Amino acid sequence: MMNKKNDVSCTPLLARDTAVGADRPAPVICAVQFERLLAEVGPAVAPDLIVQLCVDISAAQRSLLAAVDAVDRAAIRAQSHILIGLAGVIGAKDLHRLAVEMNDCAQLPVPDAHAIVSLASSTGRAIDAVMLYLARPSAGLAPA
Amino acid sequence: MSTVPPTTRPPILLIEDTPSLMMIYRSVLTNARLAVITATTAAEGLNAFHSSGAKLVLLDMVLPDRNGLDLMQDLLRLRPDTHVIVMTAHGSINMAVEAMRAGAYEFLVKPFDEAKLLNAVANASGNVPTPRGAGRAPVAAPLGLTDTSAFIGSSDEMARVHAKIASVARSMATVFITGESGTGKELCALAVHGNSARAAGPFIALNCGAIPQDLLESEVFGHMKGSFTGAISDKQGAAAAADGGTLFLDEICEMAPALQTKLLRFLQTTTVVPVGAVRPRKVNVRIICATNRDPAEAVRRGQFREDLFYRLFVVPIHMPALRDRGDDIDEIAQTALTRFANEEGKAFDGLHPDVLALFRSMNWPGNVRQLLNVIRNIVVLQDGGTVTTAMLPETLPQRIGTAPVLPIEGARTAPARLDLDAVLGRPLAEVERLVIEATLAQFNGSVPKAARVLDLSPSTLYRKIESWAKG
Repeated sequence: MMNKKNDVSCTPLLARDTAVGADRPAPVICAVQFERLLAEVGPAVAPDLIVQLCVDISAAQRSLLAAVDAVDRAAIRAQSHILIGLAGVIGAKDLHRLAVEMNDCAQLPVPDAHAIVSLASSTGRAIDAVMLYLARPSAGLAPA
Repeated sequence: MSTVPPTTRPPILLIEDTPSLMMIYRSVLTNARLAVITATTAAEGLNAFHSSGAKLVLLDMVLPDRNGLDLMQDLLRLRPDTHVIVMTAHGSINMAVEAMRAGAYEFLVKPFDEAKLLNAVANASGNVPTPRGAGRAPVAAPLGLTDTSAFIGSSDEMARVHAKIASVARSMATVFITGESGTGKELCALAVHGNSARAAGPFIALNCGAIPQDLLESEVFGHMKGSFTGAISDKQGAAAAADGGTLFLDEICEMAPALQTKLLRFLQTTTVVPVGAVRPRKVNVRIICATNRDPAEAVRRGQFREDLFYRLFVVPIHMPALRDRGDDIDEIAQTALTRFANEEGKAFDGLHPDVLALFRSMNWPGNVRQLLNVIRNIVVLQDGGTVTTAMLPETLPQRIGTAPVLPIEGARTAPARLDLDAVLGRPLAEVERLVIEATLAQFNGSVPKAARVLDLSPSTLYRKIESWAKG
């Protein structure tokens, strides 16, 4: 399910289908962690889980953008909270880091609006990359 | 809301609003052959709680319709013996700590792994109270009925301690007890243990300051035969001995840095690896620790790991100094006089008002322990009657308001008043020393009084004095 902080065997996977800007690190999914997650839920649930992950991440992305536009700190906190959980569980480290930063920003009594907009943009790109990875027909599934 | 066919035990109620996380947690639990019912909102969760009889709830702290903490308080009001494991992501750790103080059993920070989830559930399930006579752990006392009778005194300060013990006892939260020597930190730890659901389990106390650092690892984690010279047989460590109960680590700030790392690992994995062993062993232990030092100061000085500090400092309980407990001093003195007189087979009529007035005016650097020693001394050396000031031990300072003068090695004779011209141009460290020594002189060498005036902890002052003595 889940994050193994000290797991040196985590293999970073580039979301190769993504147009990655040269000025930022590529989004990463830890293949070992993701495959372990799918093994934990079992083969019967894994395909549905991948679909549901796409649905949830996409919904969080939409809600987060709306919250940033409306400068709604509570909603930013709630949506980044969801993204932290989702990104952490699938091993999307870049997305996880950005979601944590976004949540941190929204916790401040006087949030830095510029930083939030900038983070939202980066988070959007990280989400796109993760979504593309999850949407691949063989996403994370170990070879039969 | 969805359900899995119930077993003989009430199902686990899982309240999580993110569907994919719900799928993952539910799969992990059902794959472990646990019955689960689920809810995605607080309202749905409350209904499911009513209808299912769930005694274990996995609760996301951020729900769409309500704050998870509010919901937890409702659940505990409805069924106080429920164990609630809260799940939270970054940014809400403070809320999780608040939840523990409010009675949550455990908290998990997302993302967490399968083992951690199942371990938390197993710990909570193992302690879920069952009907009397079923041979399980005794039911924890409901809030407000906690037995803290080992403490004498009814001051506001102690009432706050009793309330804290009552609220924290039923959870698995780590408790960090601070307070000067002799204030009753171990009694406090015993009260937390005795009022918890694991009261039937062992209470193992270990003084980290009293055991040589070379032996401490073996004392905490155990060792295997032949793992070092003198290890003539396998030895179970305190952590394993406390399995199912509570491990009390006193003077935790005295623990060597290398062992702090191992303790942190133990807290993260709940497994122990005895010295010389290859395989770790899983244990179910609640940690309570204590120190008479200022732990935050120890962190600042680099003597105590910051990550370990935050791991342990979940629910702090501060034991008040005796001098701050007002009329408790009378109560403790009278109670101790009666008890010790019974033990010694003597008859005392009580304490003269002058004695009580003197006691109330004293600083009591040794706190309750010092007061009990004074009473014991009187009972042993006197024949009976009313205790007067003439019966007090000779070593007890009898001048009202005077704290015992402590020998301060290395402290130079300092002027009682400092002239600013005398210190200008001197190094800051020297100025600091002059100010401290002058303050000590002003209070006849009383470290606690000088520390209060200087807004330092007494332990800091003691350390500075020690360093001057060495240096």
